[in-house]
Amino acid sequence: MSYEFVPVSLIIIILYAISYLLYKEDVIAEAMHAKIWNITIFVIGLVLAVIGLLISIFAEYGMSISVNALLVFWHVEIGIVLFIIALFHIHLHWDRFKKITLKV
Amino acid sequence: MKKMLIILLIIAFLTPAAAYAQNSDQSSSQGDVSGGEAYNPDYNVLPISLALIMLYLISYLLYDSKIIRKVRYKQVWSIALVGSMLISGITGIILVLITDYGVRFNLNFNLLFWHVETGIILAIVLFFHIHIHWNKFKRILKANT
Repeated sequence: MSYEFVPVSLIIIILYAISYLLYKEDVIAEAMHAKIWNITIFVIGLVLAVIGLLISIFAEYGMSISVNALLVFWHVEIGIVLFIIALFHIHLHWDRFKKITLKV
Repeated sequence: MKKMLIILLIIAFLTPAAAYAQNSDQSSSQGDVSGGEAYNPDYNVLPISLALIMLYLISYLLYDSKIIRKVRYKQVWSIALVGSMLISGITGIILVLITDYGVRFNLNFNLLFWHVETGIILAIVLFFHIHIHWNKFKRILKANT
């Protein structure tokens, strides 16, 4: 089963580039640009976390159900999307990220 | 009142943790697998979740009692989130590259196991992250902002 890593990553990168360009050209405010990606990462993170926990619980307790393969497929696809968006999220909040995480 | 509640919650989570540890100990000494034949102890969802929840409650208690500052409390869980995200994410991407493109890496450990374990940590710490930054989440999700 192919997970289309490159096409999925490219789509997310292009979407982020478009919203970043719109913000730089003053078509949308910085707050709106940040809000779109904050909401996206929040929703996608929650969905991915829930699917991942379900898969690991099913695996740990030997519950093989018919949707397992489907859950794994979507977990991988959403995981690729989340990883790319998480990198953008760190980029968006870099100053706060440096202050909170890197200053020990 | 809040401190009492947190202490009660810690005790409430200690009980299943202790029961789980005792059960695992008895099963391993009897040479049997707990939870029946289908139980696969490769992944540790319950112990990791319980341990993290207890650690979070303890850190919250320390912050609420002003033993540690808010900055330190937020920093610990931010580092946990970023660390688990990076490890889980990178191992996940490597697994996808191996599956999709047949790329071979000369690695001496079970990638999938560590992806799942750090993923469990990431999922639980994500809920803590939402709790810590709840006001900011409310503001961001408010339609009129």
